[in-house]
Amino acid sequence: MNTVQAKPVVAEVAVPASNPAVAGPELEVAGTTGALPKAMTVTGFTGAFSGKTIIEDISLELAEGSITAIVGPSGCGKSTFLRSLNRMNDRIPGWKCNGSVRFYDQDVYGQGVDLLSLRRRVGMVFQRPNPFPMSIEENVACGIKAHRLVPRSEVRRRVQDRLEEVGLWKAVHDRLHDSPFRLSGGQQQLLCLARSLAVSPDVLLLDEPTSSLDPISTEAVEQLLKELVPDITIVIVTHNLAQARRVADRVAFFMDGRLVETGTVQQIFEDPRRIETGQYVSGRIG
Amino acid sequence: MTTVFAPELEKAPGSNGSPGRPFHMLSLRVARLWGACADRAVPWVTGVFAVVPIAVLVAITVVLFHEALPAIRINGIGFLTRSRWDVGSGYGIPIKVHGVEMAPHTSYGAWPLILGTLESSALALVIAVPISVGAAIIVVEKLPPRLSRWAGICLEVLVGIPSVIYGLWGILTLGPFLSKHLAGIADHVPDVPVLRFFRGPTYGAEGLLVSGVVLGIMIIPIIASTSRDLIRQVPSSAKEGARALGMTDFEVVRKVIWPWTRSGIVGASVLGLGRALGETMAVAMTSGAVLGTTAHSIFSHMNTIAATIVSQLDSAFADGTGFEVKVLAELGLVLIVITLLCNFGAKLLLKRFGASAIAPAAMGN
Amino acid sequence: MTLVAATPHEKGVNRARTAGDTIMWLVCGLALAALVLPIIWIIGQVIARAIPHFRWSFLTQPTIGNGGGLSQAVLGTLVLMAMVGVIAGVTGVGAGIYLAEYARRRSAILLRGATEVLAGVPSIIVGYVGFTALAIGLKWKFSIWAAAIALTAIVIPYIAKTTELALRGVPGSFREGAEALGMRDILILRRISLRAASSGIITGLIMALAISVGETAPLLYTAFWSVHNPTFGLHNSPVGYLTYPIWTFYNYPVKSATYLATESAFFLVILVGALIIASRLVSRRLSRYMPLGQG
Repeated sequence: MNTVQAKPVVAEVAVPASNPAVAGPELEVAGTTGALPKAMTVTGFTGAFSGKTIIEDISLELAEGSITAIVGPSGCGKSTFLRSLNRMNDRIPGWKCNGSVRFYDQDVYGQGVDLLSLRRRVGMVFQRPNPFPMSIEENVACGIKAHRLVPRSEVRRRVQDRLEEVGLWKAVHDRLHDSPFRLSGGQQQLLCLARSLAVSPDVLLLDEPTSSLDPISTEAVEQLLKELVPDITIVIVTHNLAQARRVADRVAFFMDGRLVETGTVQQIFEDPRRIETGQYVSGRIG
Repeated sequence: MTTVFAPELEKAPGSNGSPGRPFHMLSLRVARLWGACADRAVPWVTGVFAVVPIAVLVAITVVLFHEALPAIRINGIGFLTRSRWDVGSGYGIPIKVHGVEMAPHTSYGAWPLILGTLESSALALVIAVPISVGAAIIVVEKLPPRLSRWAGICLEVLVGIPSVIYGLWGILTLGPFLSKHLAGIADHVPDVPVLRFFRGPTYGAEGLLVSGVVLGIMIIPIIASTSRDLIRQVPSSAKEGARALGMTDFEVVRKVIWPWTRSGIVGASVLGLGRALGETMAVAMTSGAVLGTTAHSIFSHMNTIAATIVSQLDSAFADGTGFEVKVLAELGLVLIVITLLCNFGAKLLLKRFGASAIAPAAMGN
Repeated sequence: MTLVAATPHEKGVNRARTAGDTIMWLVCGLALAALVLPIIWIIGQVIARAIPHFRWSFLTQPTIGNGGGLSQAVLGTLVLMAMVGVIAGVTGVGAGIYLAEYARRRSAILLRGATEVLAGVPSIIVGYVGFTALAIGLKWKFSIWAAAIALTAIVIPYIAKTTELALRGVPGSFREGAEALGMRDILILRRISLRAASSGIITGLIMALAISVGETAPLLYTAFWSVHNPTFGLHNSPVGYLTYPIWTFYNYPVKSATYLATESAFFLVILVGALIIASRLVSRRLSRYMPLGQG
């Protein structure tokens, strides 16, 4: 199966929500995940820092256009796992991994993988907003410019589109040349989201994106995530179970570096198969 | 009278024998008294030490002004623009102008020295800044910790090498090397404005170019270490964000590291400039030490204010009237004003960076 | 065809971008080489010029006219270094402690500003003032004290600054922990802050000594030069030191004189090298209890 050609590389044209299975309510997605194309497939993935194993033997499938929440106690390797999906750990000294991560039909850790393109298509948003030291407009534009996604003349319009998409345009349209550090924390995080979206990723990895935000900004981000599917496949690491319940289609529960259980939101929260999962979601551990 | 919260003092001795209790009540009292005195005394004593730099600074300023005043009165503002440097006839009968004694036919002009100081320092910056910034980037972003520690040692060595040794290297090794290898090129530079400055005979081992290169190497550690520290301060979250967007290292440097550090790097460069302006021995050995003319090419002999003071001070003694010594003080004042302006500018730039308009939130938490 | 560089357009773009990357690292690498190379070149030529003519008598004989050995100069440099270490060390560290721990806002700005301004004063100015004020004004003529004071004026700002920075670098949690134990200020300063900062302070002190050893301009007209061993007289007792022969003898037309210059350079390089190595060793030893990544 070659899903590559199906996906427009330069997503100038919005990806149509043509997949009928995704259009339905959550339950349907959960019930039919086997039939959906997999945006990412992880098999037997193990990662270690300087010999200390952080995550072990993880196997997980991310259905195209779904939102997967990764939950678990702190220090269980959630973030490490997320960061290994677009090889953000590569630079950390002492990092070793094996197993396979596939993006559609492509081995992410394979020979000759273009890291730049990989990261354009598998984007990441971090725990703390990390705007660049340049104007608000430049922040969104710099990724587009770096990847030469659109002609220079259209960059501006695209910046506006993305800022509108994340709901920031109204707040910043009259101060696009201001420092991003004058924005509130929530606005900064939305800006970082807009920056990631501007390079038209297929998958977006979010590492506790709302943990440093106030409740109102959190709601804005969550709302946005729901609007982004099914165009984009989303993985969100969160320590906030209520958030996982609100936004996710599927939940993966990590503990001590292992993937304990994965299932639909309903199943994990109401009918967990494993004892640890039940203890965690009811607040007895973690 | 302050009450000391010390319950064990009020208790009868021996009431309970807890092991943490001091053995001897008297020694505890003495210790407390001593401690209380020391608490008061230390700020005073260290405060006196902290005033020393101010005292030294005031002393320097007063002495320099006092010495220079007669020279300022006589040379006037023209001192800064005149070129001729003539110590006059030492054997003639001293004349008196405005009550100041001096040798006849003297003329002192600082312009060539001011220009030489600025030219050599500018050349030093042109050489030092790219090297320092490039090295700082690779040290922070690419080298493993062990190698970057070695780079740090290199910077310490550059600081530690005495300036006379830089001078010795400049005059005995670098000068001959440059004049040998550049002579061919220098002859063929076209004789047109601007480029003309790079044309001409290379005059052996001394001159503006050698001084500039030596100065450049000497100020590298200042600029490089400051740049390195600034680049280290760039939050890794911003760099990671850029990499997660699929940016190359070059783009990370251009889009994140450079905007984050540029005003600081400019400040560091100006700090280095301040050092180059005041550097004495290395320039005195490599400049060719001419007085009274400005450099007409990059290979010309030249001189700077600091080098002139050090090389002329002993011959200035020979001036029985003592006037030349006073002229050198005036030169010193000019130099101090230039360097201080420079350092002040650097401070402003680095401060603006530290308090930074650009990233208060990200730096803070 | 690799999926993650799907279109030819994207492939081409990425190739160009990666090329830019390579060029940047190449340029940066060259810059680093341009930084390291002169060090090797300078030290190499100092050694190469000194070794062929090296005799142990350079260390045992004093200078005679423009020949002989350098024993009195080596001794003079070491004595001067020790004096600066004590005078500037005490003053500078004291000033640093005050700036870091006690100075109030306004006085701190003034004192810190003065320290920084003094750091920017060219050393020849200090030499000139030392000469006119101490040697002429106070009629000391030339003496080791004038030289030590001039050198002190030059390195105090450096020592004060490194001390202040080292103390400021001590994590506030250390202090708080000690305060919570009921330790008094002086004890916290001595047992906690100074100990935690000791690595930085000592390193700064040793580097200041290395700088003072290499100074020439402030010494020429305060210590002058002597072929006799240093004496501690205040009046009319000039001192020999290692930088003088380099400046004075390097272009003498007499072989024995140029040897003095090159051997002085050799000794200076060894001395400065030893100081740098010492500072590294000391700082490693002193920071062994510090959390990783500090000190």
